[in-house]
Amino acid sequence: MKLIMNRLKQFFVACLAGISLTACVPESVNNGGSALAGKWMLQTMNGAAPKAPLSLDVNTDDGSVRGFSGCNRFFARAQMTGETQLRVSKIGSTKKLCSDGAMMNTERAYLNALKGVSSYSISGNKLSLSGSAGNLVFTK
Amino acid sequence: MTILKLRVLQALTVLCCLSLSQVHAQTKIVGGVKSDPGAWPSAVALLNKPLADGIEAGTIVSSLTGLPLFLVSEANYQSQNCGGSLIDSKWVLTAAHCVVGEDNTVIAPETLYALVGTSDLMSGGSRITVKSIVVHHAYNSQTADSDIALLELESSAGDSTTDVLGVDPAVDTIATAIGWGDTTADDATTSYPADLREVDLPVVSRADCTNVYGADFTNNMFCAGYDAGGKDSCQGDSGGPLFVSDGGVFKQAGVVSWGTGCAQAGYYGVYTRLSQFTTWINTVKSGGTYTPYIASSISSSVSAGGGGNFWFGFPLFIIMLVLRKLIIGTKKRN
Repeated sequence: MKLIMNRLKQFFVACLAGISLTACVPESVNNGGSALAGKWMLQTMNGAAPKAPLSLDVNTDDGSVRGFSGCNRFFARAQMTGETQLRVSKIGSTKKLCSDGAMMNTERAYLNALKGVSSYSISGNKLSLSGSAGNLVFTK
Repeated sequence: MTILKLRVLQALTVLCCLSLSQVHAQTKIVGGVKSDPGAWPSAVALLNKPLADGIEAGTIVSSLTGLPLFLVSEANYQSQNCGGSLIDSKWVLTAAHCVVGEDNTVIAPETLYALVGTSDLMSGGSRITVKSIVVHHAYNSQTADSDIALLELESSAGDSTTDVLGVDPAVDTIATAIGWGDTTADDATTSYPADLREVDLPVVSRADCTNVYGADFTNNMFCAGYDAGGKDSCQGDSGGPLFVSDGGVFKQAGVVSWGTGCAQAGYYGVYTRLSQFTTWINTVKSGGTYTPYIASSISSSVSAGGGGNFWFGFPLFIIMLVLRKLIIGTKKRN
């Protein structure tokens, strides 16, 4: 009986240790979607390099997405489903006008592409977003 | 031959009017109307100074032809990027995001003009250079919280100033946004007027705005607009004023800040809540001491690698150690 109790106690301690260690492991191991977290810089939009540093900052804790779209700041909500599906919605943006008309066009295209995103993939430090309005490739 | 000349003249007239209509056809800030000249004397257009100067000097040229891209008369129109309001003869109120760059640093004052004294970007007005820019110390570029800045002018812009309301306007109060921003609501097209526009928008309850924007809607913001959309401020209107009538006198209650699209159904325009900043405004205007804005690389991605769920695991680890001690201690006493 004593032996059984000792084994139970050891098992209990081991379980607690295991749970606490598990909780300290980076989330990207437990949740593949968290690999999205961080600041990404746009490298290409539909194959073309942008003329300004367009960015995407993903917070997987609260699902917020923020960034710079060339002229304005934007904020949005991201919803990840499974390992590859991603939706970006409620894209809010400040209301400044860029004197550079081409940059305003780029900004609109970028925000439209984000709005149309349906899937993502990560390979190394490269993030690819694909959707109805185009493909975006970022790096960290 | 005379008839032929007449026909050519008619054709040219039609073409000319069609091209002008690209600028002036849309009647609204979005869903608004053209303002009467002089209706809003405190309205300020913020101009990109290097661009405005370059257009006037003829140095902004086409890379293909080498010819000037714009007419000299278009200098103000082509270089306008934000709005503002004259709240003192030498102070312009605007949005912080109009004067803070992508790297979170404040732009150089010498890169701005404040155009005052006109509602027409194609004629009239006076350009005044900016002496200094004061961004609110709590401005967060990632969230647009505390989206407010003051520009000190190098010289007096006169006394056509507006007062800040100082209190929150009541829900459903009709407020008026003014600006030279985009008059189209859809993403596919844009139209930027030369004439100042205005639109009436009801103030929305904080609860309704929170329902729409959630945590993005902070205590330093308020909303105005219609559930059905159709009327709103838009790109180019940033920094401009949102007025309400106070005993028949228009006073400024908000600053155009951000929104989800423009005039979209289900989304309101978001404005800097000036009632939260009256002390700061008065302190800066009067030369008092204020906390400076410090540019920082703010990141919202708090879970970017490594940390895991430390604040869940650590207490559990302590509990485990305590329990282990209790268990081993009990065993030793046995």
